[in-house]
Amino acid sequence: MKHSPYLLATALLGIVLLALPVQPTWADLRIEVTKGVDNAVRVAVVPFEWQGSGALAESISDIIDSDLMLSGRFESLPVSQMLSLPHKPEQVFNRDWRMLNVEYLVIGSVMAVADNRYRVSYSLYNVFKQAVELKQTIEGDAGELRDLAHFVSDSVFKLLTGIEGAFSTRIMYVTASGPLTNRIYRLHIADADGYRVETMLESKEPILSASWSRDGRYIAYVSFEVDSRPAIFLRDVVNGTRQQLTNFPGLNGAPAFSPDGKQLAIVLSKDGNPDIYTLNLDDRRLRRVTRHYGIDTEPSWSPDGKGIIFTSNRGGQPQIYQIQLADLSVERLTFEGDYNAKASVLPDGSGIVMVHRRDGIFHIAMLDLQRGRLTVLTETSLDESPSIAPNGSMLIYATQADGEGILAAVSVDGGVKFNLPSSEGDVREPAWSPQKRRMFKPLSD
Amino acid sequence: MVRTSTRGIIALGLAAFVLVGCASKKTEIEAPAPAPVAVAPAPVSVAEPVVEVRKPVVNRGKISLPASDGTAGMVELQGLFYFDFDQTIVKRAGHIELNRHATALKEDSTLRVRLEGHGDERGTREYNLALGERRANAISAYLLAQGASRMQIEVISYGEEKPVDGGHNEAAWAMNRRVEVVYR
Amino acid sequence: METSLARAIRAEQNDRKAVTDDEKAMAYVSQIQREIIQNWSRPPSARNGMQALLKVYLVPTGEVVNVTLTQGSGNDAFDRSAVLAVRKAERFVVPAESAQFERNFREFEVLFRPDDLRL
Repeated sequence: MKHSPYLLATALLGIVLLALPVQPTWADLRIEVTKGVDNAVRVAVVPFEWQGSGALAESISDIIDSDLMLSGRFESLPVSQMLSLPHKPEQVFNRDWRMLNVEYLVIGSVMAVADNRYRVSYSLYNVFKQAVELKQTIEGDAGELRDLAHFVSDSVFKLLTGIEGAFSTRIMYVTASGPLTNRIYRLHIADADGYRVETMLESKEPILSASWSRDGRYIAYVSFEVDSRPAIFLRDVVNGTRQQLTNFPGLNGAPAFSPDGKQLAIVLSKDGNPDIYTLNLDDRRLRRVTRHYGIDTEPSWSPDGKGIIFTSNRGGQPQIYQIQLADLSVERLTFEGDYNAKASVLPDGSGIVMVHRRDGIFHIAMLDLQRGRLTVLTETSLDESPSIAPNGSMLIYATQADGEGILAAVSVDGGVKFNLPSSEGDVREPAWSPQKRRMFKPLSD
Repeated sequence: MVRTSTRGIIALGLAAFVLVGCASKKTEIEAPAPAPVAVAPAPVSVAEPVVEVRKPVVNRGKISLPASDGTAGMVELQGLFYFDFDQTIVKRAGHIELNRHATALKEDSTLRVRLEGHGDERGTREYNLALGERRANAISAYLLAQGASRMQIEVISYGEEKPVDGGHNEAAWAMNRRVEVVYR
Repeated sequence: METSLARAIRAEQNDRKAVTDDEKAMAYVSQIQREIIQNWSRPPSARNGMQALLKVYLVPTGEVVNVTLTQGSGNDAFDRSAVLAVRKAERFVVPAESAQFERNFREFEVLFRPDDLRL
């Protein structure tokens, strides 16, 4: 079959020039674009105008700028390079920003509307379209300035990425500090940007496996504080009360809240082997879920709450399995690699992320459950404890830098990677809160 | 005046003690200078020669047994047993020392021991907790098979939470994959 | 006979002209394509298989005067990134010859359909 050079060129370049058979018309030129460069989006967060007396305790625009930078998706412009400082869309002089190759502007003002009450009005301005993409006004009190800023970051992030922002969420993590023989363990909850750290627990004995309830009200964790033995505790984050849930001989570990918050999947070895159990938080009824002489641990619920995925070495090495709670049927999910552990399911159920060993190095990997494809997401080593952000697009994990544990984040497509602001001591086991700390209802203009 | 063991002299299970008392050179070298030296009080009036057996001494989790060379010295038993990566099998190299622990437990039913299982930092924390428990259970099974009583043994796992070596290399990891035999 | 031969010759010449015009247009088209690719930063929610169809309007200098979305992908961030990729180019290199410009580049379509994403 003979191809005209024209057709051949079209096929090679991926360009389709559609011609109607009767009357060829070039008005139908169609250029097909199947690739991109995916550079960081250039955003300038212009210092917000402050309409009030005295100084604000926090700079809203600085926080927004640092949030957007932290996400790895954006490249911001230092204030020193800005040619003008508009606060309203009508003050934007486009050429100032085109010259600097800025694609979007975040501009706005903060106004004191009452005692301890502040109003933030902001716009997201598209420089190349010369149009406002988003305009909102929100109000909060003095203690909520950071929350207001994170709300703006979330809104901007969502508009530009198509993904719910996670700047208003919190991260729970454990630190260990002091010499090996005299360590102090602490359980903290901080904003996603590392600020506003609250210490939940301090102990001379290990603390681990902290997890959130879906509504963000409760946390469950393992602490060795009682007689240096592991026990599972439940803490109400709001009022600070806590109770010890388990005290069985052997392991009491890996608590994971069911999606409806009514049950906790846990690991107990009281019957001889580490097995998965569910603990009903209302009536404290215990149900044994797995029954195998191998190690079964690290349970994580499927988003519909009907199944639990877990780590088991029943096949000789740790791999990920799924058990259906209805009939207790077990299915192995991972086959690639000789060490797959601590998996959790993406919110849409399309895949799982886990710790995966490749060439002797521990990475975070994602397994696409539909296509069965495993992708290693991280290039760091000794990676562990992946925790998926509520937006399902990022995950936070613990890794090592200069011999210390630090937290890092990576997008589920592996495209964006960054380290989180460091905290004191050895940081480990991050758990991303499923809920935002504070929500605001935008005022209608 | 040298403090003497108040537990006194008990002529019991001599044969067994002599057997396990022959500590290996390695252990003697590694053991720190025995702190509490137990010296038998001089026999006041003994009608016939009694074979005396001094009791083991427990100090800071470690047990010391009377030296087998006839001196008044005590020999501290090695309390650390190492494992391979992702393995829970008790290495043959530790069998002799474990036998000594087993015999000590068998000889004195009042002794209580806590087997603390540990892992290295690689892999996940909860899986390492389970591995640590497996390792401690393996040591426990060994001691039970050698005559220790279930009542005497408590098993606990700390997983990778309590390393003895903070390094991030093979040497450090090898030191951290261990079970510690802690007397209480 | 002669007329039909003349007609055939003329037809062939026209064909050849069309082909060379096509080839010339191709060079401009692939240049435009490259520029758009260089400017396209897909949002993290973009997935292979998404499609956004844009209509691009130029003036003879090659300057982009308007970009409209004729068929969205269903993902606003994706569509916005596509429009921005064209707008950021600002000006494309187009044929100086008026007829060629009018025929091919006064207005044309760009279909954004990624196939190189990880997901």
